[in-house]
Amino acid sequence: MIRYLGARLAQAVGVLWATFTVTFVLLYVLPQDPIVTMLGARGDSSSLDPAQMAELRQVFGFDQPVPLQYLTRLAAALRGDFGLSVQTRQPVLHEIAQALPHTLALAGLALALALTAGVVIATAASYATRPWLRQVLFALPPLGVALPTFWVGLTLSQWFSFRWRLLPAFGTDGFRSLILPALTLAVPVSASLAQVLSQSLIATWRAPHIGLARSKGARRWHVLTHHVFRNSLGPALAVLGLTVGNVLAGSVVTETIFARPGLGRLVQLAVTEQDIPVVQGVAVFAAAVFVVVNLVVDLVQFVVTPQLARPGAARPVRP
Amino acid sequence: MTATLDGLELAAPPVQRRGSERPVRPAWPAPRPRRRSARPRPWSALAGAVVLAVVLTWAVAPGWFTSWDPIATSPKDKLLPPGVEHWFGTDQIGRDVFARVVYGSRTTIQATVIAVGIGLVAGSVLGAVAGFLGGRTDSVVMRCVDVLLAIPNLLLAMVVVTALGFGSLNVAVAVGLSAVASFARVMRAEVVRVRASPYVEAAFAGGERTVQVLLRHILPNSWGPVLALSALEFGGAVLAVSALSFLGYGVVPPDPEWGSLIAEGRNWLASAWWLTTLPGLVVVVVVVSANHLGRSVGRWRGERA
Repeated sequence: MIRYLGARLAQAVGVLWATFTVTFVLLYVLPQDPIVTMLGARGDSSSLDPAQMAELRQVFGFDQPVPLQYLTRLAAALRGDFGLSVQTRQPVLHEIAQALPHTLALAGLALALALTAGVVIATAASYATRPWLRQVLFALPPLGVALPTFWVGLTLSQWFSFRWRLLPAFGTDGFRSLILPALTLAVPVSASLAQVLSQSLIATWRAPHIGLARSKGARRWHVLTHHVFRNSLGPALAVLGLTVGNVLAGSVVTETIFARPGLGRLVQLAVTEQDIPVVQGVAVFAAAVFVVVNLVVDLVQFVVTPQLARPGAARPVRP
Repeated sequence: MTATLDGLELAAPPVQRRGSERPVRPAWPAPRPRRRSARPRPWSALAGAVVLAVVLTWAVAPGWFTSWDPIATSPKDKLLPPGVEHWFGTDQIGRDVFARVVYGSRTTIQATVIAVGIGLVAGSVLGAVAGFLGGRTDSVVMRCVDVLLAIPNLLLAMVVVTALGFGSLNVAVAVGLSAVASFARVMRAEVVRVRASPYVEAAFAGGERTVQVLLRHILPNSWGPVLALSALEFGGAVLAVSALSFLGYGVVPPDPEWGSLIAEGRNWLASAWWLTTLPGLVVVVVVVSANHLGRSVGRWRGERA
């Protein structure tokens, strides 16, 4: 197990390095002149005289050869320095740190909602006995996956804020303004979670040991809580690790709709303004979150499925 | 399967044996109405296919479905609610919303098809090469795929859009690139599975060349799950393309496009619900259909998609 974790750790570091490299190539090498790209979005590239361009190029380090730029930026990134934002001239890390608490609050509430809804729906769907109820419950997750996040957000704010005036549609004042964005963000996450969990629950209900427990007289509820549930968690946990990336991506749309500050809004504005350092910083940050969360998920897998810790055991499930 | 080493006989596609791998239904199933409820019936997969066919026809020939002009304005007809005349109502400058949805499908569906095409071709080639060659090539390719998976799809697409610039073609390329990883994974898994089968071994033993084995025996037997995935990815790509154009990275304003159409309705949420709700419902129906079709195809091929 220690060896497996060591390998996973090395893999995680490798993924981060590669993410940095991929985004570097895409953002700094691919565009012909990053300075023109960055200023072009605001349409003032023609108004700049060449001397100013050269000065900017020097400030951002574009006057150096690409391999040297890469090494300097990589070394800086290792210290957490992703350069300056073009719009605000603030360090990118500072921008991320400022935006992070808002997104964490949103993502935390959304994840809590999504976990609750996903687990309840999946468990109820596989536990229910009435055909129509099962049909309805099993149809919910595929529907949830297909809803465009931006449309859910707009429709929610249309009814709850504009029609019924129950909750604020914009801003960040207090918990009430967090409810609609969190609901919006929770829909796709809970749906994909419920999809996997219900499949896994169905498979476990069909396993021989469940039949044995039932034939020995255990009630269905008892079988569910003592035999089925924990055995079905593996795939759902793996998906949960993958969905954290979706929460971050979903926050882009959600924060834009509800005009909330946060990481998603930061990167949305950065792309609109072609603020390359911020885009790269957030992408690498997202990959870091993804990698860390998946490491944690793997650890939890060992707790949930003790068989995995034995030597020669299969590795945790990854869909 | 009788294992003769007659290359010709074994080179034929394998008998469908997958059905036998399915667990036998035990006599003690937990819930009464098992299986049937979770399993799509053929007619519902057909309904999904019909919806997709209609939308594809929209994209090819929008003029067949509406007589309204998607761009011409008519200020006296502004913000009319849905009715017989205007099925989806009209927007703030009197354009028919249904016409804008139908004409908008051209941009959206085009971008989606390009995106899925890029993902399908690039992902399949990568996955097939990795799975077929194995060894170091395999691990290098799959590590790259892991990296692509570590960046959330939408964020990766946004990075690509930043590099390429705005516009619906660039959005399509961005979404396509972010879909490459999942295609590569599925293709690789399938090629690895098929490569280990006896008929491939027999083809090699029969002296066929490597390329021939790949093209004649492995690829024809491993396209099923990838096909199912491309239907699923079609739904996902519709969502991603419209999300990116909702954020304003897609088409230039007067042209209709599903995501930007919904974005334009944002300012009229309180008074004109139909501007966002109805185009959104169209997106939902299309994505549900594509996903459903993908899952049905997957199950029809005997795999869980």
